[in-house]
Amino acid sequence: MTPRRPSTVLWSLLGALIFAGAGCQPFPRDPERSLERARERGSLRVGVCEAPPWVIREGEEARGIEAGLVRSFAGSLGVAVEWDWGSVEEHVAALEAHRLDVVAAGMTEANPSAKKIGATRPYFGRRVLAVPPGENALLVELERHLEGRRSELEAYLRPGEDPR
Amino acid sequence: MIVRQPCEIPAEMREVIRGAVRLEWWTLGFLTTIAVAMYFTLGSSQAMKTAWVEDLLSMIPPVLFLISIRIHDERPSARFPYGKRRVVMIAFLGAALTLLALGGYMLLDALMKLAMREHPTIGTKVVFGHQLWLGWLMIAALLYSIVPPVVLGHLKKKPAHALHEKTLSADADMNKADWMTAVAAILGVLGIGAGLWWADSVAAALISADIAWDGAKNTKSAVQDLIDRRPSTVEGDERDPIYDRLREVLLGLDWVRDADLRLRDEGHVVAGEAYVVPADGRDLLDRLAQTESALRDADWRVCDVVAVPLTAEAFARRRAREADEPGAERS
Repeated sequence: MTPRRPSTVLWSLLGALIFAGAGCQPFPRDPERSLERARERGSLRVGVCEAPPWVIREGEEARGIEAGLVRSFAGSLGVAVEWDWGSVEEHVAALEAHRLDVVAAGMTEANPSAKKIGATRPYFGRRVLAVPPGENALLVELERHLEGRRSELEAYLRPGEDPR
Repeated sequence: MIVRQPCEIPAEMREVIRGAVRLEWWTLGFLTTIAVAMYFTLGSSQAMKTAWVEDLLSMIPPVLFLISIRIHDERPSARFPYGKRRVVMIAFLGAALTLLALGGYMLLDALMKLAMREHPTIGTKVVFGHQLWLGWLMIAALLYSIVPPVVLGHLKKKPAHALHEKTLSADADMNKADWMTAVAAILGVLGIGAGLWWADSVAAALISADIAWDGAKNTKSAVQDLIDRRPSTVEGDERDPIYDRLREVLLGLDWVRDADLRLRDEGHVVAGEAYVVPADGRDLLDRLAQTESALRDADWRVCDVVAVPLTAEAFARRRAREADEPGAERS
């Protein structure tokens, strides 16, 4: 008599749940619906910290390379941008708590907090933007947009040369 | 020092061993390509990582098998008077412990991630100018990882039974389990895509529970073999039919009134004592020598079974004691 494996029963359960969850929705989806909620709200909540030339503060408004990228991304979604000025640490905590949608702070992929949050693929050199962890629909949408603007950026910034 | 007679392994079994060695080299080759393919698509899926680690660690049983098969047939010497047959059992214990330790570790890891509500992030990758969700690439790598191990696992079962080779059998089981691992990891990645952040960790936990379960089962069996359990079948804990067959041989000898054996596994082969009650005391030394060669001729796995004469009273006493043991089997 060999006893039953502990998990055999659970396999089918897991499979059934996932296929029920997947349906014919767009793939991948956000567990916390960040992208859908940004569209419903009509705005993208963006955490920014001053990091020239990537992010430059002008009153409550942001300028600079990453600010431009975020603005055009919001434009492609048809939503406005709410800038939220603070420190990287505050923004990372806010991303984890899903109180922000995107963080632009001139971060590189080497940033230790990039592992805790959803860092994008580098859009130029090693520079990344960040989204809440696991919000894969938002991440894929943002990475598509950044890829579309890559050649433009490289013409302006000279490929392989980080202006910092 | 008197050393054991080397066990003669018949030519057809040597051929089976060579075939098994070839299969294990193929396994190592395929596992390497799979591990490389998966490494490049790892990302942050927990189930994917678990499947990858399982692929890496499923190289350990083939390696242990290949090492033990080089050593096990060395001739008995003054330093190793019983030869080195039992190295096969140590290889089996090593393979089993690897499964147990890594399965347990990965299970804990997955449960912690689940408890901390970690949301796995999977982005895109540019492949030949197209932006693809990395999840699809992971699934492609996992699909590749299904086929070769399942085929190899199936092919290993036959030599494992012919050789009574438990490391090879455990390895074959693990290869066969690989397809379940891969399917679970695919479900995990699809789950992430469907917005179910927990699906991935749940899949990883299930995979590791399976691995740990196999490890525990095999570790128990390996330890029992090393403390000289009576010979048992390659899978499970059934009494090896070789015991009944050898007893028939003894009872078939015309000068034997009663007989029984005490046997243990020594890897592929069995060793132990054959107790016989002679009908009379004539030619006892010759008859004992004939008994030993009759047993050797009965099965290639008989390596070193010593014939011991007993009086009818002594024989009855010993068997009575055996039957008193708790949990004793019919003998």
